Amino acid sequence: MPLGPARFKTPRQFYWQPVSFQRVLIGLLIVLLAGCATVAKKDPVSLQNAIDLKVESLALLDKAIEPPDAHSAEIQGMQLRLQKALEYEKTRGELNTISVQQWELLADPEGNLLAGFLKKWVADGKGRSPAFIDGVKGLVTKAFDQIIKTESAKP
Amino acid sequence: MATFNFDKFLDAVKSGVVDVAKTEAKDFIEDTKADGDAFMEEMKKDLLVWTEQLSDGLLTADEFEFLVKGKKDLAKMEALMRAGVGAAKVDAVRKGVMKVVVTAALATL
Repeated sequence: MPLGPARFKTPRQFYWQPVSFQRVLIGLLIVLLAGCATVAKKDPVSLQNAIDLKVESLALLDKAIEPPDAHSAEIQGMQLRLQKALEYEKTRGELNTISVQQWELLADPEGNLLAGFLKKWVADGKGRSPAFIDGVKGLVTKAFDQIIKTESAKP
Repeated sequence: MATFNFDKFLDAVKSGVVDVAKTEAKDFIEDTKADGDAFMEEMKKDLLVWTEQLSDGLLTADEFEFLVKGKKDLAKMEALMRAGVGAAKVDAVRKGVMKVVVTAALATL
């Protein structure tokens, strides 16, 4: 026996209640609007990763005035944390594509942001000039700010 | 069965959707323009400083090239950020429209 709301006294009355086309249309509209998210939800872990790595990477860049040998463990640690942050972003689904692409640029050793600089520092095997370090710090700061802004804008 | 005034519902939705679009889209367009202007201004300033540092011997050609390419990567990140913020705004509009539709439907019943 089919179940209906309490106001329907018999199954027959339940079946014969007419539903207007307009109401169906409104119901469909609400269902469609509810199911069409365009972006991933804000994630406190992602935001914290970006803030932590920004502070840590800028502190490491200050040390780039010295040869990389003295900072090998810190450089490797930073490269690892960058990869971990990128992998974490990838687990957040298709709606997080934009953030993933941003982290990929930052963590690309062949690129010209944080991972690219770390690779170059190690490959060249020497301390860098203050002017160069300042320039790279400006790029890295902005890159993290853009990641943070993108994450903060999410619902 | 209670009658449903579909025209009244549509009028309420139209007016509500216009309000949502005005609020969300206006802020987004203004913010995007301000961000874009600031980014271009900063790019000009940085390129000028790096060019001077290159001619003064404070940067090597290799370092200069790295920084300029880094700026290109940053421009990609900026474009992604704007796309991300835009997608979030679209989401806010979607939620706003949904709220308008539900409120209008309940008010019209």
